[in-house]
Amino acid sequence: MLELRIPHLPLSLKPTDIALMEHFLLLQCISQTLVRINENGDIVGDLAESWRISNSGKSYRFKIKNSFSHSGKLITAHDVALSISQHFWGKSVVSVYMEGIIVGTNDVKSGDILSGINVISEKEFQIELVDAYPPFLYVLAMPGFSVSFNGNSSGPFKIAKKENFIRLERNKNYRSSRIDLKSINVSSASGVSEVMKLFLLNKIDISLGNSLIDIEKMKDIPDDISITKTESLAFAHFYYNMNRKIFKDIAFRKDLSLFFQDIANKNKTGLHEFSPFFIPKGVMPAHYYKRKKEDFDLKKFAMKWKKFTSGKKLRVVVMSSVFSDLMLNELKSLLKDKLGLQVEMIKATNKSLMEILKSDSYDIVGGRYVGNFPDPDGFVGAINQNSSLHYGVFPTEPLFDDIFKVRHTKSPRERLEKYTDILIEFEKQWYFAPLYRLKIPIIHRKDIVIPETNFRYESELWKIFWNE
Amino acid sequence: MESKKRESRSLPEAFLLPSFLIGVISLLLLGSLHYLLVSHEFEIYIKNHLKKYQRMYSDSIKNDLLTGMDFEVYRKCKGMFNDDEIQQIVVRRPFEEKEICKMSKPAGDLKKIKLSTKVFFDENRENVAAELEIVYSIHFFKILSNQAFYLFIGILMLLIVFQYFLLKKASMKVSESITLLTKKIDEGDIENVNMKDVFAKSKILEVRKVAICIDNLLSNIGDYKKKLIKSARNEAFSEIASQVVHDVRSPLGVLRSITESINDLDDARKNLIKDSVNRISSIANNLLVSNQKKENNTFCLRILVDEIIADKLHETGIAVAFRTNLAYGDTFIYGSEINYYRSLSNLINNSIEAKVIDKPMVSIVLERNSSNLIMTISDEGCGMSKEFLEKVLYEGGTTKEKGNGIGLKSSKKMIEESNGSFEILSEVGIGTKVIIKTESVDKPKWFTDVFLVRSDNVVCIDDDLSYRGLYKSKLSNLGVSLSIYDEEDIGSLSFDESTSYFIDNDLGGGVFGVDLIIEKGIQANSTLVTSMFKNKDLIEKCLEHGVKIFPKQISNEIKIVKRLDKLNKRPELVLIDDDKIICSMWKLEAKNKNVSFCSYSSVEEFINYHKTHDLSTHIYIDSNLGKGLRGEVESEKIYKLGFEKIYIATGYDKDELSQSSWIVEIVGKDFPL
Repeated sequence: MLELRIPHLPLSLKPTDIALMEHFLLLQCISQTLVRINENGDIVGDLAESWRISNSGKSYRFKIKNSFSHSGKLITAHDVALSISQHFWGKSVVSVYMEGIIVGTNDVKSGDILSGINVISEKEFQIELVDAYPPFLYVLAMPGFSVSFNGNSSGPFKIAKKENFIRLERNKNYRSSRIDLKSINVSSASGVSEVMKLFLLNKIDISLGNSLIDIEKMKDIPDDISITKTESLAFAHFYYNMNRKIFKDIAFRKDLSLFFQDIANKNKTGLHEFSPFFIPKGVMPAHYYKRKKEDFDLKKFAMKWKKFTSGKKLRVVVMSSVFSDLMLNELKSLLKDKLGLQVEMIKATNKSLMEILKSDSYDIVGGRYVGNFPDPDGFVGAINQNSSLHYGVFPTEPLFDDIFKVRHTKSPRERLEKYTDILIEFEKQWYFAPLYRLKIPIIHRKDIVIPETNFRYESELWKIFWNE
Repeated sequence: MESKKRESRSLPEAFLLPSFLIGVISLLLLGSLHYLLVSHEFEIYIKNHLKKYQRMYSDSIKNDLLTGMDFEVYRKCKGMFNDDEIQQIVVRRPFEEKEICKMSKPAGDLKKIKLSTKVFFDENRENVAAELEIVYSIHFFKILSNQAFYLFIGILMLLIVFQYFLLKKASMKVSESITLLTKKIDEGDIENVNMKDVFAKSKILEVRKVAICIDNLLSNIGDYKKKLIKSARNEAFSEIASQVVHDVRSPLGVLRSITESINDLDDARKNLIKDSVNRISSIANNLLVSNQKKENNTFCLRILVDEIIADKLHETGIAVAFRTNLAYGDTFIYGSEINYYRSLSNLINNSIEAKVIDKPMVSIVLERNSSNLIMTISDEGCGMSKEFLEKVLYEGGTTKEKGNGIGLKSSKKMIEESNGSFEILSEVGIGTKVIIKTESVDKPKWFTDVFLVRSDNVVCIDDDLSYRGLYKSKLSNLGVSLSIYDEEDIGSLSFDESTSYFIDNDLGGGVFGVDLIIEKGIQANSTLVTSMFKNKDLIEKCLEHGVKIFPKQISNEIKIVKRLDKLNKRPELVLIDDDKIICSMWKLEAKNKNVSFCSYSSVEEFINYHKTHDLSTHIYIDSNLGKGLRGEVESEKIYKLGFEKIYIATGYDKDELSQSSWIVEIVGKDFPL
């Protein structure tokens, strides 16, 4: 059995209700996606036994396996269709990734199956896309699109008990992949210090969702405890609120962004990889990342902009679990000393930051965003002004118009080339300052093996096992 | 001749050609086998390599296949297809007629390897999403086979040339030495062939070993040659010496007796002549003894003792007393006569030297104890202490100033080497006694120590005056007609079976008595009287023709036996049987085979006539003699008379009879010859 601690227990494990990464990992435990990305980065069938993609790339015909829900009911093609459709009955967090992709996402009624999903038989169904969409299977592999409807899910674990903790027990009907764990007890624990106390008391085995900053501060880690820094598609940038006058000058935005990048580069850690690109490395074609390095000189920067900024105030809201005090203090003092800017630094928790983002009550916001799949579409959601949660306030309609024009390009290579051009051009507006690609820390006992994440970007919780 | 010429070839030819052919065939076989193994191993290696290569390629298109990016698969296949070594690529989904990609090009005669891999939908690898089939046309094998062929041919040629020169050189090295050796041998200069020179240039171990062997062989041949020459010289010398001794002894004897009878000379002159005669006699004896070989043979111990005593008398003038009641014929032993001579001579010398003037003379006693002869040499001389005796007996050497080097130790050793035992008892002031014990053997068939007179007519032929006188004195009293002739009268004599002959062997003029007896067929009634009874050739001839020899050396004790019984012919076979039919049958067989035969009806009857039979007569006795008498028991009486050739004849099972020690054999009732 595995004792797991996460900062907050989810109120629900419905795919439509989940937003946090740790909760998605729990969702993965109890449900299956049609396809999943394995440790090698390969697409493999999970609930789907096989599929056939039409030559046009617009039609996906799936045949599903004989899978049974935790209550013993056979998972049918109809269940899968409802499971996908439910994200569009009201807008779910992940619906944005499928919106406009499958036919009928904009006009489906609650309880109905999307018109673009045609159930052929108990085991087969076909999804019609508005147009060819190469990363469609990657979108389907998102935990948010797990097949789970009205509690019918067929994942490797089933929920055995749920009071002030969640107990997950192995689903004996699950056959798609090997599972080593028998059960997982999930409880909440806030803060690294409390987590470490519980480790010392031998009450937990693994902990997720901890503050990167707190972990970087950790000293005297017990011998039997390890911290695995898993790869992820998460990034952490500063975004500007273009409603503020101070950011109207693109040259200032650029210089200020270079200033932030300079400080971020100096304060990179094992969990913070300096990445001055909006989309982290490994997703876009190589030339997206081969841009001419911009020179930055603090003195010149100060001389150039001090008059412009002197005496002004800046309200900077940052996700406290991502940016270090050291970096933030340096930033604050330099802006004051060099530019005469009065910086109001607000360090927000993950949850409170979401509220701040909805209110746009900041000049600069810094936070983490976890990409949902290795495609630019999996990241642009962070700045999509049409999304309920988005970083920064700046015009993104032209960007998404351009993206919409190319997102259905049939050739993935050609499509990414087009995305590269669009994004590079957009990034030249300096509406934001790209800073870090982040790694996700997992604190665990040494004899627990965390599956590798070099190709997957996130470790699957249900694949964790005890090394005996 | 031509075929023989073809068969015999020189060493290089005989060695080189087969080795060369075997080498070439071996290389061809080895090379071919090696090529097949290498190419097979290469094929496996390349297949494994290609499998990995194809698996990597299928991984690279896997996600394209699963995400429906068929054009990407096609594009990647196209890129792959540009590879020279790929002849065909086919990618297809199961149950779909049309392939996602199918490309092929002509590959010529290159070796093809076809490999298939599958792309699966699931991790359990159960559901096939697509199949990838690639045909590789491998230039490598053609290159390998071409290059290997040329390389192989090149290496083969090099090896052939190398082998040719190596073998030629090796065979020349061997043949050069052998040729030189044969040349030297042909020149007949074997002894002067120096193997080191002949094989000096050869570095071949075996050739050097051959050189050592030949060197040893030549050395041995040289040694054998020298020994052969020496042996021939010794033999010739020995023959001459024997002849000289024989020739000298008789006149010496005459000279000695005449010297004794001359009364006109004073004692001083007499002694001078006597010493000179003794000296000549001693020289003659030493000449004879020193040339005799130490071979074991059958000889008469009593004759030997007589000779030694005579020699000692001649040498020292001291008469050694010799006492025995044994006939000469009972004192034959088997051993080295020369060893006995030297040993006894030495022992007598010791006794003579130890002799105290006022004490009796040295004496020798020869006795018989069962089958052993016991000779005791005793003196009443100064004797030896126990320590001194042990010293000279076990440490050897001699304490005498003029000793001949044959001490007691050597005497003992020589006796023991000649099947005798040696015991010495000595006490200071009392004397010394040496006891030699040796097993006696049957007298040889050629030997006789009696003058057997079988008729009233006796003829003696000898040119030796002393013997002519001896015959006259011994035989004239027998009441027979005695005629004595010398060799000159032989031509006028007629020989018959009714006359008894005593003939000297050396009749002069190259005529020998033995040849005369054989020529005239008078072996049964003749005796060869000679002092040359030790001559091997003579003995062999006598044995072959049944001639008896009476040594002149024992003529001082001539026993005369006259057998003028009803049978002039000496019976060779006697049958004692009460069955007259058996006796008649044997008689008939004996007549047919010209064998002397006589039969008796009982043992008692035989005993009455036993003196008419020679002791060497073969006597066959019936086991069942009637009246409860058993032949195997009664025969003991005959044995006690001195007959030794006693057989039991029976018509029953031989195993049922007990064989007594005096019975030679139990035989059937068939005529034995």
